[in-house]
Amino acid sequence: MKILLALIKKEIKQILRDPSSIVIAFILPIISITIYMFGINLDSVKITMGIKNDDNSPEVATLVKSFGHSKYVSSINFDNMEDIKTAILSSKIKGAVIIPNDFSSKLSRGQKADLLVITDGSEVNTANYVQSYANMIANQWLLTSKYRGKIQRPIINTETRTWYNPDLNSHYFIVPGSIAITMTLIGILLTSLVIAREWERGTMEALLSTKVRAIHIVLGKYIPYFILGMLSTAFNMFLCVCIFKVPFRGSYFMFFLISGIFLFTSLGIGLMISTALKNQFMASMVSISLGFMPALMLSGLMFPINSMPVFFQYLTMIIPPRYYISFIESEFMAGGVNEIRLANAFYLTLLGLLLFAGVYKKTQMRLQ
Amino acid sequence: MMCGLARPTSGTARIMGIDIKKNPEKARSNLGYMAQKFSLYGSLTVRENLDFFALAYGISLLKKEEKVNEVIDVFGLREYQNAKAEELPLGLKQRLSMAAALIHNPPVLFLDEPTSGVDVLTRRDFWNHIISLSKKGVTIMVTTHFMDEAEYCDRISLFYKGETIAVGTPTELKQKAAAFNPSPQPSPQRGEGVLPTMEETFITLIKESERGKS
Repeated sequence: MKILLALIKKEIKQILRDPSSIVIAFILPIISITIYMFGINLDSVKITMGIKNDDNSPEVATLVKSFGHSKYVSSINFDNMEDIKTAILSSKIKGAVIIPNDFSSKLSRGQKADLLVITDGSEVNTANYVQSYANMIANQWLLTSKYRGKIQRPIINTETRTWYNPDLNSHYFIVPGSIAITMTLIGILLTSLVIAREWERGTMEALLSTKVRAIHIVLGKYIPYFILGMLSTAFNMFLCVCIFKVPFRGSYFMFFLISGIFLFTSLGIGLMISTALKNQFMASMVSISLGFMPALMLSGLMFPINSMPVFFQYLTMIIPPRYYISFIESEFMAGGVNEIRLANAFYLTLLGLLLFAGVYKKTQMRLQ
Repeated sequence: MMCGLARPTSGTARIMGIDIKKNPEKARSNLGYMAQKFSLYGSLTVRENLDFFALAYGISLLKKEEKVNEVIDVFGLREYQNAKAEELPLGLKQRLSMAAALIHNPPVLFLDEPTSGVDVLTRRDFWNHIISLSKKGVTIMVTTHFMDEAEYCDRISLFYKGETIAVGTPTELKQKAAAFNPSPQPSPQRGEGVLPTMEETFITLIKESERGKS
């Protein structure tokens, strides 16, 4: 116990004197959350479209106008196809709507009228927006135009209610999700170097000739970095809720409890890497590729897990951020759901304990 | 192996009568170890390093202060006690390492090439420490490749290609070498019957062991 306290005290002094871990714990969250807040936007954005109107009826001119008035679209009028091609090629416009010359005449006869929408398939997401905005604007215009009597009333009327995030603001799930990414990175980066550093500097040899045992070394690393990690989590949460005003509907107690469990598993990954490699450079390379990439790609934050190939769906099961993100999204947006808390906490604890046992065994092996 | 860094493959070894295989921790607690490379915490101060190693060697919290002050005085580290270990010059680093290795008063001290890369004055200083310790009854094991240093020791074990080729006091080894090679290099300063230097002894004994094998 006394030895463990001495190790913890030593480690804390080292942390305080080495600015790099403080930077990781407190500057990284600021950078990361800011990027996720302002840099990444999965929401509808204002799109510039080109319009070429070949129909000179005054009624159709109001359609062209309504493209200009929409809050999602700004429009540029074109007279010939060549100009549209160059504009799309130079990304001046993201797509174009072409109104054929028989548009109004077909409509007044009550026939199906055609509208050509050109989209830029090199940006699939934007192309989808162009298509749906054009549809939406044309349909709305139709309801207010003099042709509205010609439409057959649909029998089914769909009403949409979006639960948990009525504005469909993607920041509300991306920013909390980024806490998970940041915490994975912090947990792994902070600890991946520390055991390797002791081997590299020869201090591990000095420890070995003392009464320090494997369990002291392992706990002496987990505990200080756990404290630092939790401080960083609280800081993350502060940025998220107080600075960026992301609504939090869950319980703070549960949030910190399960974040603690998650941190325990992340620290485990970092220590595992560090113990296995004994070399700071290798350890940092491995921890970034092994820790960060799967956390981003396979955690379900960016890409839904159930749309992944089956193999990858199984692979996500051993990735701690997957459970944490599932928890954190529900805690933020839906408020506490006990089944979700329990299931995720269970898997995280399991992974965390496995990693702890692994680190302990490996340290013990190394000592002999 | 003796410090618990490597595991013995076969045979037995005891430190103060304690088998290192059966009871490695207890055996180790009788031993102070100073590595060749500076292996204390660079970002901690001299005093903090000693505090830490005092506790790591199992000294109780009550006695810690007293022990740390004692080694600080013995090794003349008082004026550097609040300097960071990484900022010390090499000689002081060595002194600090030795202080840390001795903080728990081990009956056995193991020094792994303690003086490689150290200037002559510090080396002299260092050996004075070692000799005074041995007078206090501490068993000290030193590995070195400086033959003049070997001469300070009471017993020398010559290693060649991983095997002991000769054991004995410096004089015994010299006599042994002289027997193989009665007049090594006659020189004006040295008359008949004078023993070879340690370095010559070393070379002669190695050559003999080579010849013995072939």
